[in-house]
Amino acid sequence: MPLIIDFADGFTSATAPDIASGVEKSFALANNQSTFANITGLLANQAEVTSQFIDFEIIRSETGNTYTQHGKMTHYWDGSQWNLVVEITNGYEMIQDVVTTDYFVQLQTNAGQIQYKTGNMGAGYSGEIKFIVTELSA
Amino acid sequence: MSTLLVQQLKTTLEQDFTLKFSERYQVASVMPYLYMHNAPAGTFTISIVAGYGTAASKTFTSSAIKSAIQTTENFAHVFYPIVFDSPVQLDAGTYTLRLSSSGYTATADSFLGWIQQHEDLNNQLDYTPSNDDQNPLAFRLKVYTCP
Repeated sequence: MPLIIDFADGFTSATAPDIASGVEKSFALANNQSTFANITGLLANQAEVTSQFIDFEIIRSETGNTYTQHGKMTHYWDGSQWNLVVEITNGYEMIQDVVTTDYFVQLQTNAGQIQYKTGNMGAGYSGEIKFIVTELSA
Repeated sequence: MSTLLVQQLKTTLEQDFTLKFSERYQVASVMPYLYMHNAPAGTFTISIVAGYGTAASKTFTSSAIKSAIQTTENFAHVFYPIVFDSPVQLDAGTYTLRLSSSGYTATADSFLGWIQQHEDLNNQLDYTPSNDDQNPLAFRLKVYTCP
């Protein structure tokens, strides 16, 4: 999938241009994250963006067990607040409204910043969310 | 501001092209339209591949790109000129321009890309793109001409 990159005037830059969509990113999910924490790379500013369409894969594992969920989320500004909707998922039903089981993940949007909580998995833990974001501008 | 449609190099990127003149082409240089994101580490190779094998190839690095355009900045988009070390003659026919790498890993923070171009005044398409994703990977082929 091609990247859409908005490059400022000129042919060179000392700072990274804005990559509007298409690049795969990943973020390590902490284990037993009991308070909402930011997912780096999933922040939207309604002055610039009104919709984000997020393809994601969540992987959490402990010794002997691996859980994955694949799907799509829509993160959109409705004129007064940000909304996060998980549209399509396959695999384990990891994303839940409340974390009551070790492999569960809870997501929310806080003023355009997507945040997470996780359940408490066991020894040998690793977890990450991989995602590609497509945005529509304001 | 320029809006670029960029294919991120992960392993290889390729663009086929066809030479139609009846004479042989003496290649002076090939200039892929590259996007450099934070001067990625590694060695890159541009190759002209024919049915019989590799007609020409040359390696380069991010430092070489920066030197060619006389910049110290790590983000750039440029038709990067590549002059092969040995003379390259190509008959009319279809070839593949291939971008590959070694010692390189594309990340969100650092990668090399090849830009797709909607309007290419130098090359004629033999199809009509129905969307931007179908635009070719842009390059210029410079050839020596007989006086």
